[in-house]
Amino acid sequence: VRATVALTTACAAFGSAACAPAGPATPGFSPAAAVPRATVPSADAGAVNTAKSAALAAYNGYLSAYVTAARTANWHDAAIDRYTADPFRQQAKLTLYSYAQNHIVLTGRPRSHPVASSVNTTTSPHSVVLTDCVDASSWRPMVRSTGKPAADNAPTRYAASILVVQYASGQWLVQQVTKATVPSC
Amino acid sequence: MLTRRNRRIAVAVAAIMLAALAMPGVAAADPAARTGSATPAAETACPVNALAPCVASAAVPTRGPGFALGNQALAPVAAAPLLAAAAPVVKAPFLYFQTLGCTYASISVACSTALLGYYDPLDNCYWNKMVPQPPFGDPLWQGHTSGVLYTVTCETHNGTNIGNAAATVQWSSTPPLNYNQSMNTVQQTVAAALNLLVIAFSLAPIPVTGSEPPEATGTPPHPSGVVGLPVWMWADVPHVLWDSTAYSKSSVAFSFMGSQVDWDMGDGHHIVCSTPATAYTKPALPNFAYNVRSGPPGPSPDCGYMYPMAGTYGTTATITWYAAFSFLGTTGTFVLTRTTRIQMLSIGELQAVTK
Repeated sequence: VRATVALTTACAAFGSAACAPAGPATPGFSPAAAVPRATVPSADAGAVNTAKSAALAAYNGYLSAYVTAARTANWHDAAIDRYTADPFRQQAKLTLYSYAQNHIVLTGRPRSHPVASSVNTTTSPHSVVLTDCVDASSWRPMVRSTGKPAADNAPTRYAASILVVQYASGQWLVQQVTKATVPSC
Repeated sequence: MLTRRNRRIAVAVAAIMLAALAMPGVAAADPAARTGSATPAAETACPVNALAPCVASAAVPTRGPGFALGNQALAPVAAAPLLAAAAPVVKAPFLYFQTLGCTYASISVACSTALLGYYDPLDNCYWNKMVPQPPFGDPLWQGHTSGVLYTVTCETHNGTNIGNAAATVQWSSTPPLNYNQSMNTVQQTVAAALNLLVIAFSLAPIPVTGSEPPEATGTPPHPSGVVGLPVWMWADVPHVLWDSTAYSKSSVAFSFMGSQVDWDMGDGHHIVCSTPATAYTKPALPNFAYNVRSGPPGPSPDCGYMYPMAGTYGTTATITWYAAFSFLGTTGTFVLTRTTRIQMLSIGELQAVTK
């Protein structure tokens, strides 16, 4: 009576501490889960724009909350909850937890340029796929106790796909994220 | 997984058998065999297979003592009046509950954490209900229109690498066992349930395989074998105590899913078998539960050993189960291990054949 959706493997996609930490926690979603959410040309333009704005706000809110939490590797940070939903929320916290366990924190902040690449406002739930080109060159891991850079071989620029879904409460929440393992932006 | 959430009680007595197999031809030529010291083990009476409690079919009905749950001894439960007079004989439970809690690869792990959720010992994963749940229609539901979606984290053995655990989403129609219950509740429930389990064991029908064969002449003091010849080990565990087949009674239900049988051969070697293994036995006559002579020659197909050196070895078997219960609306699991009493096993030298 259980069904499984395999979402991603972590190391390459998340850049967690055990495999050269860098960049935000960006677990992926399977392409199959996102494909049905294609843009529908006949959708109401106003609704589409509203969805885009809400999705971008959710993602930007998440990123800001995550940057703050990662400064102290605080996986309890409730601010992340306001902008995310599982499974991405769980994975983001797992990554922060991993940082904490490995005495790693992230300093600085990334440069982010998200844009909406597809919008679904015709079938439930409404959703938006964002793409982002993240520049993490000034957002790097360091050893908390020493302040020195942690071993790191993760790319400093990478492309990410972000699936933002409108939940029953009306909130738009970041549900799944995939990060390209090869910089493409 | 398939049945563990059903309400059920497994009722039976687990009997452990170890038989030293001597090749018929060799045994016949061995003078020691004729005097009994190298007689095939299961040919003799109950003490030969005394890794298991001997169940005497003709004895006066008695009750076994209660189980020990950790340091808490559970008193035997009084027999139900209607059943007391006719209760079949069940010897004392020969082992004790040794572990209560959550373990992964024999290492204690948290039964729940704020980050990961609740540990399900049946799949060694932490389950956490997704809050909020995605709206129905989201592809994560995979078409389901009921049930609950969980995040499941299975990297349980290495805390510092937990961030590398693969994120999975799983749908389930019912809550995982142990889900969202305080350990206090679970322990109280287990304690209450075990009281009923004592009743269940006490009233369990005696398995035919547990009945005691008649005394044989020339019984050696304990079973024996020969260096270099295969020893078969098997645990005579009824299906209901291994494969989650179950039996329900009153308001409590148990199921047992066997994990392994760890045979301590007494010479420093352990043989861990993932099943109760194949018995070197065939029921021959109603009063002879085991007939070693009719069994196949050669080594055990799934759980055997050959002693490299002659000697007398104290052997034990430790069975590990996952036990699941449902009791008064509460479900849970616990790990149950039981170790047999020591059974001495004599292994002689093959050179005796040439004397």
